[in-house]
Amino acid sequence: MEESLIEIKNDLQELHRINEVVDSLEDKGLPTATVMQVNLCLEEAITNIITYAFPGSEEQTIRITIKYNSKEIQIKIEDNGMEFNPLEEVKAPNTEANLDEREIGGLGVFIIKQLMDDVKYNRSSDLNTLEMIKQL
Amino acid sequence: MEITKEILSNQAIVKLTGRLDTTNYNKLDSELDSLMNEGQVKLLIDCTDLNYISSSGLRVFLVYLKRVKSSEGSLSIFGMQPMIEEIFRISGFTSLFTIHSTREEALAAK
Repeated sequence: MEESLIEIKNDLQELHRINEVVDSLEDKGLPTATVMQVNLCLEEAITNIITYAFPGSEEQTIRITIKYNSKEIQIKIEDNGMEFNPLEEVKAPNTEANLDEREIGGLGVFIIKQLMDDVKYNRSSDLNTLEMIKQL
Repeated sequence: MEITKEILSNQAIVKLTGRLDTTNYNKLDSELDSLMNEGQVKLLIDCTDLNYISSSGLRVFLVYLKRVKSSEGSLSIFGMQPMIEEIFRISGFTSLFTIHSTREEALAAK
């Protein structure tokens, strides 16, 4: 599998660096729609990590590994922040609710679960690991 | 992301160009807030050149849909690209929002 590794600071402006790497995968054969979905899932996951795993203002590192071949793309996000499992701690929105009942939050993780084929979270030692896999 | 607006006799068209994401959603929020403060309650969002949206952007859409409805107004959308419409669909937004294919259709609607 081809592999790309990116390390970013816990700063939302760093998302642009991730976009550049993911966008370049289109030149290597990744479909345009998949590129967009991967960018979106990375943004949603990393926004949550920056907000919930790193609530302070200290500079921290988030490590993203992207592995892919013609059959699937695997994305792993690792951080040393506070324990935070987005798959359990973020309440899913009710997408069937009418406008008055529809709550504002919870969409980020929900979108990841809809777009990716498999999503797993693990915590060991001081490391949060979120893995997302999409079949191509 | 670039935002341009067009004020018509009874509605305002807000055009989004580029990406709407967690780093710039507050630009759209400010723009819609100022339009509503000027008394505009019929809003049309032109998404023809919107090529990316994340949950931050979707949240702004939802907040303002609720807000215009409580002022007896409306917020509708036209020109969404297929990938954007797909994100709206999986978020359950296609049943909440009025979505038109073209500007002409949006302007002709009541």
